[in-house]
Amino acid sequence: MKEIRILLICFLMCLVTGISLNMIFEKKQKKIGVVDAVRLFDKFNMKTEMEAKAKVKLQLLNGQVDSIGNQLNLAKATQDEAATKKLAYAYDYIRSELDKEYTRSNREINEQVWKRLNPAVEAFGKQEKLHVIIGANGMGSVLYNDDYYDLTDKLIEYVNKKYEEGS
Amino acid sequence: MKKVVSRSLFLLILGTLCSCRKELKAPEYVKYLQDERYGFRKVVKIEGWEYAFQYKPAEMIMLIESKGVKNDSIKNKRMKELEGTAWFNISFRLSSGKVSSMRYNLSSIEDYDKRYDYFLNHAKKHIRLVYGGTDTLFPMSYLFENNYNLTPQETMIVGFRLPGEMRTPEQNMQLIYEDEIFGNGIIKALFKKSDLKRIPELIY
Repeated sequence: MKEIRILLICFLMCLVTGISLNMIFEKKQKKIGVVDAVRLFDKFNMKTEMEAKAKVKLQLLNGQVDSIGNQLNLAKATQDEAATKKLAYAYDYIRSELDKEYTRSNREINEQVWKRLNPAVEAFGKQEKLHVIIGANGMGSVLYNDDYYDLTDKLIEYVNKKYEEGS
Repeated sequence: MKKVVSRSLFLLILGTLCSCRKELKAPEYVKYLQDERYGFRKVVKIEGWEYAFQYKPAEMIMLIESKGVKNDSIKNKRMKELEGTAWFNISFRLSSGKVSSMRYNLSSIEDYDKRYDYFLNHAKKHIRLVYGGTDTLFPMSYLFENNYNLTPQETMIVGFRLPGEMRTPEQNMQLIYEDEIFGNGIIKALFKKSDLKRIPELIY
């Protein structure tokens, strides 16, 4: 009977020690992650694909700007005033269209990519049991961090997998 | 030595059992394919929107189409027609389900007509399938299911012809839809080769 009691006490002591150690270990585990927001954005596949798509349209407009620009220079060189006036107007118009398209596509890419990244980052944080993810972007919000807290590569892999597989 | 042999045999039997395809009756078969856990239905949620991509094997299409039809020759004919193709449903809805996506954020009937025309005639240009990671396929068939605003969910049905002499899909299939209307960007769904191999066998 006495032996059983000693065994029981030993078992309880081991259990208490185990739980305490587990709690200490859990507290020591990192709960904060640092992510380079710029790199995350740049390496997100959706951003690369949207940029490539927008580039086609922008290159087309740019070609038109160059073409009208050359005609305008020719008209100026030949001192054809009527043509210069007409082409200068066309040049300004197409130039402003190019600027507008550039701004529009940039805004669209930014909005749509962050719309997709934000919930993915949240899901990643929950999966990794992180309490805080700090976005470092080179603007001074994080002055220094070593690799221990840096989760950028892991997060890039996670968001791209989620994007490609549609989960 | 005996132990090694018996363990190897056990593993072999286990492996054989695992690789066997499940056999399911019609209602369970459809339920299995519509269950997100098995990889034939993918749901992508984007800030208040839900896009569901459903892969439909030929048997599933035949089951849905031939409700009550017991004529085997009709069924066989339909199965033959579906050979060498891959079919999907792409559905989208607002997560709240309160407003039909066709009416979302519209200010005039002209805008509604434009949106409707887009889904009837132009959306197919923004759908493609990457087969086996290398072949990009464009829809051979497209249909926008008109639900007359009775449900808040809209569905596009899209079919692709598989490359080569392929009878059924055997490689990874990545369905890509570029949302040009609601500003949700490029949406993808991957249907894995490993899941395709596990499609249950249908018992009639």
